[in-house]
Amino acid sequence: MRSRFTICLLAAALIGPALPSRAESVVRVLTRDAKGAPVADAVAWLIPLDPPEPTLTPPTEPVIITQEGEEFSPYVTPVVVGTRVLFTNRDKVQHHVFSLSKTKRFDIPLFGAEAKPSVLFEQTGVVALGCNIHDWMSSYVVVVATPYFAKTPADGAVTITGLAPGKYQLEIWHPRLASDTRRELTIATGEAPLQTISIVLKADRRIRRTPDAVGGSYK
Amino acid sequence: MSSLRSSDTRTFVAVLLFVVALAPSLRADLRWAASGRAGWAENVSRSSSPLNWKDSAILESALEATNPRAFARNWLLLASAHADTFTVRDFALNNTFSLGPLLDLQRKFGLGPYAPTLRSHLGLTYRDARLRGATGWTTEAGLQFSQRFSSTFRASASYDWSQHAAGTPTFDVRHRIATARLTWDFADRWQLSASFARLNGQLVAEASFAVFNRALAGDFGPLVAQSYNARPFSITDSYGPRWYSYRIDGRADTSTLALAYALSDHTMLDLRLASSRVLNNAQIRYKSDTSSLGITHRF
Repeated sequence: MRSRFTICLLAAALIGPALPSRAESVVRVLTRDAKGAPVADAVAWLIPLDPPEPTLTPPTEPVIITQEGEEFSPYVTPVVVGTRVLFTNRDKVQHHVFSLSKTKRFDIPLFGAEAKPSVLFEQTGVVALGCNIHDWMSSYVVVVATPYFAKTPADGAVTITGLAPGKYQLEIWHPRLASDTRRELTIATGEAPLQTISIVLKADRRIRRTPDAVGGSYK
Repeated sequence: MSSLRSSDTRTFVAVLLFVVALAPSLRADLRWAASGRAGWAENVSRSSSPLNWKDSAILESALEATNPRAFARNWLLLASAHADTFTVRDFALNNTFSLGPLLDLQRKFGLGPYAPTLRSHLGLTYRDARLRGATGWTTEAGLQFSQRFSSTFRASASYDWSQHAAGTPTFDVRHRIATARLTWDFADRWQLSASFARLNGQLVAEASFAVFNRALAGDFGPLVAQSYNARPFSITDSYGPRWYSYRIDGRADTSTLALAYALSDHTMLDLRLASSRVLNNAQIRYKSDTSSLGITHRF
């Protein structure tokens, strides 16, 4: 069973002052499904195709992914290359966070509320996280090599700002994305091109945490 | 005997409550689960003669408290206590109440949900039965191997051993049970599971006064007479006045099919069909089928 939804991309160029200063553009991404409902946790990023390459400035403080209620929060975390991520446990039980993704393999076994070292994500790509004690727990870190990225919230709308005119490659990722989605677009001063991208999502078949019904032995 | 049985029950409950009450950290880390089941059982009397088959509604309930401890990498220890009731609506003498501790040790061979898992368990259960002489202690141990093949499909195989030490030899039974189980989450909230279990060991069956005495006298053949005369039996009034309970060796094959619906991440509703085919050492075959609706909630 597949669900289809449409990502509507609205590109608007904002013209700045008349002085010959760098004009900034804005890209607005709207995610909708076939019924018009917003889709959360889609990551959109723009890679400049014109030189020079943008300067990447990872945050000085680590990004935090918590384990609470035996779930990861947030479910999807986009970060720039070179960012450190800290895993904090707010549950009374221990967790064992790990990743088998080629982008970043690691595991932090058996930690509770005590502080653990942060994990450095130094390669671009998607890192799937899990807990080796609670099989249903899953989360994703999306590592990008551009400062122009955002994740759609519950209302499915994000705005990526600070863009100079030029060519960009827009990429979209979602945990249930059926196929890669990327598109080249040109942002010109004073223009606001509207881009519409359709994406197919797979059904949500994550491991369920509901208790099994047991029994049935001969009495 | 009855006063001793009541004393055992009270003592056990008191010890259990004492441990729970005086262990605040243990109490804080407890995971609670409760389940209830209502159904209809054909040949709930487990009678080998169709003349004696009795059907009835059955009710089951269970409460479990578990304390999980990941004490080492890839190792998980689960200490739990459980209390269960089994009620045969139309034949109340067969009602039972059980409670006891269970220790479960789990070893995962690798990282992630697709790593195979081996579990071993050890349990001690006190079963308080209304049936004369059936009350006693059950010790059990077992091994289970499980493997997840996809986010929606997994399989497990287990081997369990149990021994019940009762008040009378009629109810002293040993079981060896091999079980295979498949579980398939075929839709977002729906789950289908199937299992097959083969039990070998001693079975307790029931018969009316008339049927049982005919069996002892050889009316059903020399093999039946020889088998039944050589095994312990007692008059328990289990399914009627002067009914016999008797112990015999044999095997029971139970096939189970369950369709479950996840009401939430913590609650599961299931419809279960179980069919048992018994073959005892007197070469008598009989069956017992159950259909039931159950609900399980994890707090």
